[in-house]
Formats: sequence, structure tokens, C-alpha cells
Amino acid sequence: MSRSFSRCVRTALICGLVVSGSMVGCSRSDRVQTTSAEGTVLGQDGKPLDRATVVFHPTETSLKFPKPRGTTNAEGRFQLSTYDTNDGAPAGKYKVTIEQWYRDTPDQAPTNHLPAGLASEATSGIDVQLSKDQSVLEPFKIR
Amino acid sequence: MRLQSLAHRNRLRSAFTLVELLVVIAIIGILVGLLLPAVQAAREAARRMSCSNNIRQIELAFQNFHSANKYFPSNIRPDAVSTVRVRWATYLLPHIEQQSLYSKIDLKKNWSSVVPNADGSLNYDLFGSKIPIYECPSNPESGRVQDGSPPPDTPVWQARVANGDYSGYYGVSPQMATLGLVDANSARNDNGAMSKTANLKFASFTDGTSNTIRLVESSGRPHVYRLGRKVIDATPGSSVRVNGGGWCRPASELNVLLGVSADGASYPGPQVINTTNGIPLGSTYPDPYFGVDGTGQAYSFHSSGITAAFVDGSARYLSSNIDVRVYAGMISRNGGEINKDIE
Repeated sequence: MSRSFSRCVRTALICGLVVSGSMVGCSRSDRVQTTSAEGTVLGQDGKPLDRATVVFHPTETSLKFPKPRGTTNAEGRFQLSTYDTNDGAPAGKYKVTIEQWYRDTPDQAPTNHLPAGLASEATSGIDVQLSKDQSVLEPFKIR
Repeated sequence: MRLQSLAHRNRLRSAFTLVELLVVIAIIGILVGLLLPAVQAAREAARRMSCSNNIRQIELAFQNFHSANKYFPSNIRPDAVSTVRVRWATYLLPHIEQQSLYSKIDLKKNWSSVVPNADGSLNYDLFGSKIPIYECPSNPESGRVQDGSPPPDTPVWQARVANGDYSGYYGVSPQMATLGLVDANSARNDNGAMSKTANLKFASFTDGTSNTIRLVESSGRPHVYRLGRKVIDATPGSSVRVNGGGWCRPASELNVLLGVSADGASYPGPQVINTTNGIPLGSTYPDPYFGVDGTGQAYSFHSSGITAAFVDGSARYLSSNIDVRVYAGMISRNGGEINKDIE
């Protein structure tokens, strides 16, 4: 009696594990694997740039994923996010654009305070290769 | 001997056995388990219909306002020099049978004014009036007075104005174009159906009124909800909250379309509907990026979508999985987008 009961419990546990395991697999299967990556943006004066939005535009990839992006804090540091916040970026080659949006007065729409050439992937001229290991990138310096 | 066994059996039959009771309870449990989700789904469907009805009534009020005034109400400053800004929801009051409230409000003062009006009433108190058609019944925060004025107006943030769930867009953030999510012709700060500077007319909607969104839902503000869970409770006095929520507040407009990450915690990003109801402000106000404008996002407590009102007077249900490019095209009133079908 107790033996068959324990076997029953064991079977139920295994079934539950298999079902939940397959569900975990389903929910994330459409995501490309990402590795955390962080960097720094320095202004023309060499000081850290606050509120700069860095966007990584993938080149030479057939994978589909949202463009990795990050916004700098007061120390000029940013962490890349692709799906969830600060989850990093897939490995590969990227062109980088940098913008800095903020408001001159609280009631007017925000404007980009960096040169327009930096906002376009065709003209920004910043190329970055992300590896599969955790990357701390070379600081981007605004010229 | 036989008599004894008969008596024994009679004693047994006088009550239910434990097994019988357990079986009955189990059957009832299964039936309730089957029925309860169905009942809840039916109640939610009814609330969704009521929400759709509300947003359509508001849209009809917009149409009636245009018939009477030859322009649509916007979040303008009634006189160009002052610091007063009045939201469309206030101008619409006479068109939703709230004339008595409208006539008490002094439009020359801000919504948060505590300077007595001619009849002694305060604008700040008048805007504590709950307007049921400005709220979605699925919002667990509906019927509450929990939004208020940010710190520069009053020493601490107080919960004093009544909730409103329906908001429009001023435009589409150009950052969405940098992310490759929308086309450049859609991405302008001032191409939405709401304006901070001008009173729009029918002629302003060159993409067609049936292709342009006027209002969507943004529920649960000023608390921060992400993916159905309340993650930040905005208690009065705290500075961390979504800027917006009160129906009278111009900051309750959704500002420009700016997506968030899949977890709803950072911007910009590709998620635009039902990921979060807004971006929490930090301790600095006005925020360097959002300024005095709202930080809300399109968000409802319905399953997998939001109710939206279009400028032609129709109410439609938009799926959470809508293509960002199509959604941005529907927000823009003059971008010349052709791919505007929901399906």
C-alpha cells in the first residue's frame, strides 16, 4: 500500500517536472541569447555624458531581435538592454549611434543635443564587435 | 441475531459516510472550479463593453464640441502669457452633462489652484469630483481620488484629484525611429491627435479621421503596474510614481509614443501596449527628459489589448501584439502612412 503510494507520488512529481520544464523552454525559445555589456560615453570635454542614449545597430546578422540600447547615468555609464532591462546584447558586429535627448525648458519637447551625424548608423562611424563573454567596452568619446 | 444485524445496518444508514461526503465535496469543487473562471470572464467582458461605451461617449462629446466650436479641445494655455494649462477633459464637461461642475471651475486658474474662485470654491477641490465615464471599470484604482499636484505647486504631493483612464498622444518620439521601430515620417513630437499648442480641426487630420487614434487607456496611475502586477505603490508624499492619472491634469496625456523594454522597467524600447502603465519619475521634478509632461504608457486591465477611440467617433479594441509601426501610424495624424490596418 505505502509502496504503491510512494511510487504514485514519484510518478506525479516526474510528470510535473517534465511539464513545467517544457513550459520554461517554450516561454523563452524565441529569444536570442544575450550577454551583458556595458560602456561609457565621454563628451567633447572628456567628461562623462549624462542621459546619452546609445543604440547598437546589428550588421551581418540573420537573427531578429530588438536593437540593443542603453542610456547613460550621471557617471556616463550605460548597460545594454535587448529584451529585459540590462540583459545585455547578442554577440556580433554592430554600428553604434549616440543621441542625447533632454528638454531645454520643462514645457518644451526634448531635443537631441549631439551632432545629427552621430544619430545615423550610416554616418556615426562607430563600429563595435561584441563577444560571447561579458564585455566592458572602450569609452565612446564625442568629437 | 438477524434483528441485531438489521439494527446495525439501520444505524449505518442514518448518516452519510465520510467517503460519500468527500465525493460530493469533490464534485462540487470541480464544478465550481469549472464555473468560476467562466463567470469571471463574463464579468470582465461586461466591464470591457462598459469601457468601450465610455470611450465612445467621450469621443461623441469631442464631435459635439467641434460642432459647437469649430475646433477640437486640446491641452492648451487659454491665454498665451499665463502658466495655466487646461486639459480637454475639462472643456468637454458641458458635453457630458456636467455643466454644473464646469460653471464652477475658473478656467483662468490652474487645476491645482487653491486660490478661492468667485463663489468661494477651489479648483483643486472641484477636480476631486469623480466622473464615471472618464474611468474604465476594469481598473482596480477606478473611483479613487489619488492623483495630485507635484512638489513645485505644493510642498508635498497630495492625492486630491479624481482618476481618469483615457489619454491621448502628443506625437511619436523620434527615438522610436532611431531604434528602427517606426518610420521617420511617423516619428514627430507633435503629430498626435492631442496638441499642447493648437486647437486642431477636422482639416488637421490629413491621414483620415478613421485612421487616427484620439484616446487609449492608461489605467492604474499614479501607481506603477508592470505586466499585471503593481510594482510601486505611490503613496501621497512619495516622489516615485507615474506622472499622470487625474482626469483634469494635462500630465495625464501620454506625451509621445515611447516604448519600453519587455520587463517594462526601462525606455526606450519596443513594447508599447500593456507592458507598463508608465515610467516612474525619479526624485528630480521636472524630469530632465519628461519635463512637466506625463510619463504614462498605454495600459489596461483587460486581457491582451486596450480600448481605443478614433477621431471618426469609433471605438476599437487594439491587440497588445500590434505592430509598433502600425500603431505609430495610427497615432500620427499627418504622416501619410498607408499601412494602417489593425489586422
